[in-house]
Amino acid sequence: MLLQIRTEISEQRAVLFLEGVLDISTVDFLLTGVSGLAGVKEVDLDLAGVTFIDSTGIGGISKAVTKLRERQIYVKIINISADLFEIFDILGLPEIFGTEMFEKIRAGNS
Amino acid sequence: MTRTEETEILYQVCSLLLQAQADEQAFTEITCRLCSGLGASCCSLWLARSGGGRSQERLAIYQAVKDLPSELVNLDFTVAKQAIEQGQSLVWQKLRVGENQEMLLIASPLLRQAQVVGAVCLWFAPDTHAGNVTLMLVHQIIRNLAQGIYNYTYHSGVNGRSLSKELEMAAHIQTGLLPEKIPDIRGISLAMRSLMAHEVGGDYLDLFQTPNKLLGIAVGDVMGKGIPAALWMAMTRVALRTAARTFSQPDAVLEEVNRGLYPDLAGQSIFVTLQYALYEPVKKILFLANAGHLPPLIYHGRTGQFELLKVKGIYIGGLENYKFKLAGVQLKESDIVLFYSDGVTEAVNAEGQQFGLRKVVDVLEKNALFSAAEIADKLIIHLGQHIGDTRQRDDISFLLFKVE
Repeated sequence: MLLQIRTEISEQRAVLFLEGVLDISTVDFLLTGVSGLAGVKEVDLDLAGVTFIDSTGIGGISKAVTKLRERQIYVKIINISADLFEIFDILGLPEIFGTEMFEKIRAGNS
Repeated sequence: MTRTEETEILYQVCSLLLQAQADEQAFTEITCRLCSGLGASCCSLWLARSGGGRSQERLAIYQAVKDLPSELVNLDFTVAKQAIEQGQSLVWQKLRVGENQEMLLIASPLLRQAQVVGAVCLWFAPDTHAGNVTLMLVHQIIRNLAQGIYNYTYHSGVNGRSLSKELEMAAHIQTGLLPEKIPDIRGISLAMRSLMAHEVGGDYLDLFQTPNKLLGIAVGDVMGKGIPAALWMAMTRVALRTAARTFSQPDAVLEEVNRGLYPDLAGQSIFVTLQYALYEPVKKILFLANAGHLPPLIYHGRTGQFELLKVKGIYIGGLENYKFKLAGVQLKESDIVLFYSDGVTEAVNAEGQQFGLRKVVDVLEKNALFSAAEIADKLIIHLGQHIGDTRQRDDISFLLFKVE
């Protein structure tokens, strides 16, 4: 299954709902989707529908956040599973980007 | 056409290009998607051949509209020939096709580093709006197609065989980067095992004796897989071994590695997880610093308890001049320490179930009386039984020592 991204934009806030696999074969789609956002000041990356993520996918999220912040866009990662957040925590992502970037951590598997 | 629709078309084409190396049917799919995405009546994709003069091969042609004039196929050939031989592009060109019909055409050579690798032709109904939005999107697609066609020719022909040979050599070199012999350290038995998922990989395992006679242990994992990961793994090894000769504390070593690799890693949005430990055999103390890697597992043989030695620290390439933490643990006789990559705990079977940390602990528990090498072999056997006939998705690497 590939990655599907549904984008909802209201006023100056965009929510990107990611569904499927985020790995080397799909990560460019995320980056293209993020770079195509125009006229927004806030972006939420909703990971509830992500069924598999590998290190390239995590690197892609990190890159997407960095690129959005360079454009002065406030980013949040929402609906992340507790298991995935634990991996992010081991890698140090909350320390790099700030714990406030993560919201609505879900119990259970990704 | 909205930005989302444009992105969708680009994504679909790129995804199909990834498949194209193994499946030529993907080219037909690409032409079909281009027709539906851009509203074209017909699309063709051509490969440039350069043996004994220039020639061309049609990879695919798709007609989205029925009853197009039969002359279209020949005209398509002529237009593609001009694009490939003369590098000539046609943009919204009105052409007569057959006796009574006109069509609009966009035809372009596919250029990769100034070399023509193929051509694409898009035929539209004469009343199509000849807009710049479609044209810009076509230009983007052409760039991706050029790279995709180049990859296809590279991997499917003699170049593919050459690449295979180079991969074989790379695998040989990488195997040579593993410690040639396990250092003989008083009071412990040591073992390490590595099973690559591909010819080369991004897992890093290292063992060496430091200038002050301690045992240095390094375990790491580079983001991604294959050749790029293997290149970074080799660079990480050089950086760590160099730093370990200059600095004596694990946290200082990781700081030096991060200082050296950060500019290049951050520039390419790549990260490396890395753990560096020092074992002092006389006092049986393990010192550790961690850069985003999974915590080592310690199994206490005397009590049957296990713990994860968690030391926080961000991955290499995360922040410039980051200060890593140093932790230490007093080990006792019969303790087993396991350093591992995520390929161990995340190894999946046919049902998609992961091996998991619990099973790793079970193997250590049941085989705690054996030496490190025997425990390592048992763990490999259990992992193999778990994976079965399923394709191994990730590199599996681990290193363990037992205090005797």
